[in-house]
Amino acid sequence: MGFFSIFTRRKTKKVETNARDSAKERLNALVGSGRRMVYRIDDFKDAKELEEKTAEIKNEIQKKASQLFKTDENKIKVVVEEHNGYVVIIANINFE
Amino acid sequence: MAKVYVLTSGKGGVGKTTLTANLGTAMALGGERVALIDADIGLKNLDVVMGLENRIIYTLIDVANGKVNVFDALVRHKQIKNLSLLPASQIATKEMISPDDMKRIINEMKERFDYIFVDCPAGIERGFRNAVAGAEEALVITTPELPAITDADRVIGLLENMGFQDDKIHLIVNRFKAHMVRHGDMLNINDIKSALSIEVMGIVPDSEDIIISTNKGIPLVLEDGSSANMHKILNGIVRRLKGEEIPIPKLSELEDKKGFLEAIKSFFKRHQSGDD
Repeated sequence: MGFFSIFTRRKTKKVETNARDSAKERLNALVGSGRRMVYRIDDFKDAKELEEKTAEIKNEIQKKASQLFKTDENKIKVVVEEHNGYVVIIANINFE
Repeated sequence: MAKVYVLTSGKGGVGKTTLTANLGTAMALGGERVALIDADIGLKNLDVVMGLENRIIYTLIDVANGKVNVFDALVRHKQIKNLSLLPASQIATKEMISPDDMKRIINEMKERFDYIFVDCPAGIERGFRNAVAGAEEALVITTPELPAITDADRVIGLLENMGFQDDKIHLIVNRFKAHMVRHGDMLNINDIKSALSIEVMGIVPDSEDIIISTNKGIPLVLEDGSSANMHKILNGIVRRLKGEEIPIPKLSELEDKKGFLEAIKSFFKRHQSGDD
C-alpha cells in the first residue's frame, strides 16, 4: 500500500507555471516594452527665465537663512531640483 | 582627460560597490590610471571591499567643504599604484554635498586619471543626483529579478531626463544564474534587454568567490586562486568600456565548469569550517 501510494501522489501533482514566463508577463505589465517617457523641465519652460528665477530664489533663501542662523552666506548651499514635476529646494547650512 | 562612469541601480544590494571595486581594479591592472569615488555618504563600503578602510585620513566631505585638496584625500592602493580611492564619510549625510560639489571635484580629478568610477548609493534621491552629476556615462546594474529590473527602468528614465543619451547608458546584469535560465526559472538576457531597451555591457554570473574576496578586502580580479572564468568575464567588460568589440558571453560560457578534482576540493573546502 505504502509503496504504491508514492506513484499515486506523483500523478496528482499540479503542473506549475514556468517562473520565467510568469516573470516576463509581470515585467511587461510593470515596465512595458516601449520607450520611456522623458519630460525635461527645460523642454517646456523658458530656460533663461528659469535660470534667473532659480538664482533669485536661491539668493533669497541664502539671505534669510544667514540672518536666521547667524552664519555667513557662503556657508549656505541651496540646490533646486525637479522631481517628477515637483520642485525640491535643499538648503545645506554649514555651522562649523 | 578621464572618462567618468557612474555605477547605479536604484535598488540596493545588486552589487554596485563590488563591481566598482572589481572593474576599477581590472582597469588599473591593464595600466590605466584609475580613481574610484565612493558617493555613498553615510553608508560607505567601497573602502571595505577594497581593503583600504584603515588608510583613510580625509573624505569626500572634507574636499567638498574645502578643508583639503582632492589629491590629498585620495587613498592609493597598496599593490596597484595607479589605482586610487576617494572615500566617503560614514558620519556625514548625503545632503552635506551638492551635485555642483561633485562636478567640481570630478573636474579637478579628470586631468590626472584615465578612468573614474563613481559608486552611487541606492535610491533616486539626493545621493543619486550627486553621484550622477559629474558622470558622462552610466552603468546601470541589475540582478535578474523583477524588483531590481523595475528599479533599473526607473533609473534609466531619470538618467535620460538628466540628459544622458541612449548610447551613454549601459546595462550590466549581475548575479546571473545560467542553470536557472536553462530550467526556465529565471528571466534570460533578451527578456531583460527588451524590457529596459538599452545595450548590455556585461553579464556577471553569481559567484561564491565574490563573497570570499569581499570578506578578505581583496578585489576578485587580484586573487590568483579565484575563478578564471570570473576574471575573463570582468576583463571582458573592462575591454568593452575601453571601446573594444568583445562579444557578450553565451549562456554556456557563464557557467564555471569545474573539473572533477576541483569539485571535490571545493566540496571539502566548504565543509572545513564545520558549520554544517
